[in-house]
Amino acid sequence: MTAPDEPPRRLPVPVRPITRETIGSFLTRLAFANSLRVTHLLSLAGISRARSFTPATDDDAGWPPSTPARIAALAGRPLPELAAAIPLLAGMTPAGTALLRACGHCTAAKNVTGMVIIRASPRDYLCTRHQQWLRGIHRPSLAALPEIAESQRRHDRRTANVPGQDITRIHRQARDITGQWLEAGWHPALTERWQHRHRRLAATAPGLEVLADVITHPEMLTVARLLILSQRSPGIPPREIAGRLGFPYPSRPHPLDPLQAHLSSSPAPKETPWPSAFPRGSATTRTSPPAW
Amino acid sequence: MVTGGGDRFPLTTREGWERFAGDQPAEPKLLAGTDLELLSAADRSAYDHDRADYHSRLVTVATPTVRQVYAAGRRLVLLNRHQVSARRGLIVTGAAGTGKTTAVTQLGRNHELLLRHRLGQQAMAGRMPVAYVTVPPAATPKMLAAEFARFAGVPVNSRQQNQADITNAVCDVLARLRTDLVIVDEIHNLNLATRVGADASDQLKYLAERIQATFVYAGIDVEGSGLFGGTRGQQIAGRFGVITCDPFPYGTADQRQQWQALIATLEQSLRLHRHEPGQLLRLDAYLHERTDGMIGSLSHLIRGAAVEAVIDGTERITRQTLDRVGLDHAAEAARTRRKAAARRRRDSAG
Repeated sequence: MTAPDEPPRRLPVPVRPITRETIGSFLTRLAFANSLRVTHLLSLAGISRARSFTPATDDDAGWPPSTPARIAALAGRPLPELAAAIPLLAGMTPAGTALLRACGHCTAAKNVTGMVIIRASPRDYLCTRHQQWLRGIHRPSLAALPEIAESQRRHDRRTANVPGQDITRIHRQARDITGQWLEAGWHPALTERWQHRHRRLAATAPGLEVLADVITHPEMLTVARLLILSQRSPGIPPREIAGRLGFPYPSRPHPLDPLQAHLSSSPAPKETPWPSAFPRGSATTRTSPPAW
Repeated sequence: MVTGGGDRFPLTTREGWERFAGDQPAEPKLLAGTDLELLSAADRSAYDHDRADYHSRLVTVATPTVRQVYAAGRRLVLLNRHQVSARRGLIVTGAAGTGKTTAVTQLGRNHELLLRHRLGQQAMAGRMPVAYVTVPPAATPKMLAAEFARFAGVPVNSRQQNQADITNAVCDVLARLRTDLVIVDEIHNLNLATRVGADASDQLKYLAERIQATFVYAGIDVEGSGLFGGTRGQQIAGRFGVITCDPFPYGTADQRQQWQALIATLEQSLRLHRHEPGQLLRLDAYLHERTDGMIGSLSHLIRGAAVEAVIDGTERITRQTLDRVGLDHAAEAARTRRKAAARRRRDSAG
């Protein structure tokens, strides 16, 4: 055992931190890789709260000031390198961000075979590279539904500069709208599209329960962009909505249609709600709404 | 490196071993007389300090035993690579000061350097090809497992972890780090006459089965220590080859030539201003008589004399310088015995 003030020895098996990984996940992987009990590793790092520690833990409760340096010494990596990957070590504890199991294919590509928990960004629904749904317990492969990854890529490109907290709020509203559309069958064409998507997904993963979030995901993203657009220029015409969603949206929508209800209750437009959210050069020259 | 250099770690730790394996001591350049006079006092002191430091290590001579151990060890590592059980091993035995530890550590160092060269620094990052441990006195199975853990850097909590926990952790980690050569030194510390010693010997055999590596043992008079005795010993005797390290003999012309070649190698590595090449070679009989043919004692004697020559400014190794360097008790006692025997022979002849 090393003295409390002396940095501990580097553990023999190195573990690479994954971007946005929780400290609990990293320390758990480090302990397992080196055949150590997690409690033993925590005591070496000077962390006293061993009982409540899990891979999802991502706070510094019970840490003496020397703990970050001790973690770096045990991991055999400089602290700035660890802090670049692990938000907590960089002093960042983003409130409200969900925890997520990282894409297994992405981590395996980095020679990490264990479970990795990361702090999800508001855009983390799926791995577009490996076509893998990431939210929830069931994480089906989306190889049979390439439009989902494509819609996510498009959405990320077009909303790249929208702040994360706004994305979180708008996505929540959009999910609420598509959820109601799905439950009540507001638009038969849309319902049929989702059923078709569900059949294709079920064919690749038999026995999988209906994942409403997965099959409605492209439309949810489109609705989210419509909501962003409506905050800048209210009164989006129904044909614009129909064009973007790709189904015959009624020219005189029902006032209780969830989307209409949201659009009509949206606040008065601000001068420049998300100035940097628009495609370059469009904010000043464009007279019609930007093509999100 | 976060934990600093390996300077504070002994050879029986991974950091210390890595430092030893990668160590390439700089050979100080011998300045010409005119350049030497131009040095300030501080520069001269630094220059002398560097040379004293260099002479304190000097060079490791590839003696026939070192070469034999390396060849046999390398062959076994290759043969054992695909062996799932009953891997063959090597025992290096001999008297103290005959170069056993030097031979086995050079085997490990060469093996590691060969892999570093073949795989590159990046691929070596997650590997530890060689483990070097020494058997502690009165070793128990748990102590032995803890020694392996200490080398690898697996933290051990003796109160909370039992022998099986430590052994499992060690075997897992060594398997992950793809260790393929394990050197166990001071094997004579295993006292097979006691229950604990026999248990420790069994633990060593168990580790040899669990860890997919070639095991090399080194120790004093291993054959006489009872390691090959009994049912347990039969298995070792059936799997391990033995290389004996003997003192350099000085009887025949061939033997004298070998001894002189060894001295010449050490002499040509000296960095002393007034030392003439061949000066030391002429003292070969004296050197053999002083050291009893033990390479450890010879190395100590020449290194000590070289450091002395740098410190006192004589810059050459003479018989007087060598006389001033004290040797280990074994070498001095052997010299006294030989002198007494020679005196007796002279008296009886007279």
